[in-house]
Amino acid sequence: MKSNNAFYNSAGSNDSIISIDQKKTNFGHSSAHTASAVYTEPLTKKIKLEFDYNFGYNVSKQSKKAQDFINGEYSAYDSTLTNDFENVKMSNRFGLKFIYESKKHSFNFGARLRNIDISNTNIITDQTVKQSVNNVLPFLGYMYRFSQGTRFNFKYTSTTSQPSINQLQPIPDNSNPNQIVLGNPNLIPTFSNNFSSSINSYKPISGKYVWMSLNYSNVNNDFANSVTYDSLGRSVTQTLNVNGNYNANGYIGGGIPFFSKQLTLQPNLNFYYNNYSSYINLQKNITKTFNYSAGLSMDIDIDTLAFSFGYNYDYNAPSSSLSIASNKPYYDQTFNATFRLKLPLKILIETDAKYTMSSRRAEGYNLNYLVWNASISKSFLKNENLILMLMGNDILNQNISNVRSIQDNVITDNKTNIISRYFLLKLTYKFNSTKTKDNEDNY
Amino acid sequence: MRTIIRSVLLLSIVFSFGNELFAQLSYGKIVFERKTNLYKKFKEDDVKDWLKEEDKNKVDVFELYFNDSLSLFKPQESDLKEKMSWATSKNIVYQNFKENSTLSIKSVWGEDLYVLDTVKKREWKVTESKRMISGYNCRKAIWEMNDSTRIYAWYTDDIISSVGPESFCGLPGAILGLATEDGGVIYFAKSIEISKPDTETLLFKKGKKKIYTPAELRAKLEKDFGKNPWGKIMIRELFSW
Repeated sequence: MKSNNAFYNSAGSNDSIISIDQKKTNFGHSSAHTASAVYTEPLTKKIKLEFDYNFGYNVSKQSKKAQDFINGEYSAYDSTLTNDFENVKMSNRFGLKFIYESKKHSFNFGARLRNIDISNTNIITDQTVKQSVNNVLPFLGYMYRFSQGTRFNFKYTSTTSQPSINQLQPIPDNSNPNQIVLGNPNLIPTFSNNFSSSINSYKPISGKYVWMSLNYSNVNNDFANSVTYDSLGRSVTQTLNVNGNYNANGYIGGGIPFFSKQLTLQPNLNFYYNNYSSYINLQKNITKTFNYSAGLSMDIDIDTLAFSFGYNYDYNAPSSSLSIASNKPYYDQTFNATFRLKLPLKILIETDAKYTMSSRRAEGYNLNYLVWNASISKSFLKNENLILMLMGNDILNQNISNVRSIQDNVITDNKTNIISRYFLLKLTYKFNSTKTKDNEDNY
Repeated sequence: MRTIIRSVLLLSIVFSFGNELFAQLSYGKIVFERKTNLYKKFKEDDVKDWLKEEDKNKVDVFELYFNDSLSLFKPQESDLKEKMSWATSKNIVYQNFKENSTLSIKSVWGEDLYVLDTVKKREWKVTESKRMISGYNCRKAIWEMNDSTRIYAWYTDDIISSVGPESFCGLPGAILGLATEDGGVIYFAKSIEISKPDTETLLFKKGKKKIYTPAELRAKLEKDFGKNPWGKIMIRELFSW
């Protein structure tokens, strides 16, 4: 690694230069093994007990060597940046589940007891740090069957994650000298409570369906980033445990048929909310992200002709307690249309178009573009296995990737040109078509 | 001597009445057990791959309530979760012999479809073969459903109502046993209760439901699902007899 960083003061003159010339050798290896067993004992016609056991064994090794350039060669090890760690994680998990099932109801609840033994050995100093974590992880689930195609589900689960070796490792990493990452050996595992519920109904004969779901989860001792900027503008990042992070999301959508399923309306609505904390220069920054989208599409299917129209509105409102500049909502709108026509002589015409409008972005990033694709194809042979197709992709050549991302107190607008306009003449032969008659569909 | 003659006369009268009553049974409740051989039913698919030999027979329980002119055939209510409920169909059939109507409620993919038809006239060939079912003397009759399938029925003339499982009827007595020629589906009467059913429960309440004729329903299902392999199996099952 050869790096030369020149730092300038506010008057514009050279303040200092920091040069680094090192040889870096990194090595990493990890392996994971698991074994599990489940035993179910029926007690009555409706009640069962289930026992489960899970064993896990993970080993990961990571070594980072930094050698300084002295007297014409890379020799002496920079002890502050050289380390060699081995992390061994062994887990034993016992679970007990109570199950009740009847015609309309299914109910289960239980808990798992898990012990994880972690040992972190620094091979250079021959020091071992051990951690033993015991968790009780309860869970429960309930399902109600209104009828064969309609059901309600509710579930609670608890999960925990261990810090990774990169988060724990207490040695700084200077591979990007302006972005220093520190480890935190005091990290404890996270614990999440997750709730989810849904109602699903699907009736193929009448063509009606509805899906709705609502989920919430909160995390105790979640892993969060702490970023500190020094006087030279470099960032030092470390992982901390924080409380108070949670998120929620919901969705509702369905299909409403009219005129014997020749016309179907498909509305949908969904929302997402996320609240998480991080630290900037040791001050707590709470980032709240709120997003909702609403859409409606209409499908018309009349034998040989099918077309659809759709509209979608997507609204994003991020807010960051320390940085007011990030708190500007932005939104996207898209219009979709598809068209398909079956002509005699087994000829098929298909086309689709999507018009995207982005708003409230930075200057030059509020892009509107229309992507139009079309194809015409003809099938041959009795079971339509051979297909000749002429297609055009992004015929107007307007496709572009336009993404806004917000991380802590930084907003990034990113636009990328995509070269995607092309025309193609394609001949396809299907070896495993399941169609046997002219009027059957292919599956 | 007189008392002996009088008591013998009395006893003979009682016995003769008793026999008459037994032979005139025209109402009751019959519980049928239906055994379906899933290996024979799904013979086109690789059934043996996912269904074990010991699970190949699926048992469903039905109840037939009847009086001299009405009958109601329906699945027995149970609070237990049904294993592989999609593998067999459980229909409800209301028959009204005075008005010559059969109303079936067919459950397809979670929705109930109502089909109204006239009482089906089947040509039964009565044989000399006899057997006992549930304590009743039964005689075997055969119906030629089509060129490749024959249906066997055992009816008893001790129950004079001309009823049976599903929409089967038209024999000189109640059908206590019914089977396809290959034994893939067998209905067997497990118990017979001589209780008078409430007439109200034997009549179908129309309400706002859409009622199809068999031809209308078949056309609708062929149009929507006829090109789908699962749709084809569903339609074949629905109109099997």
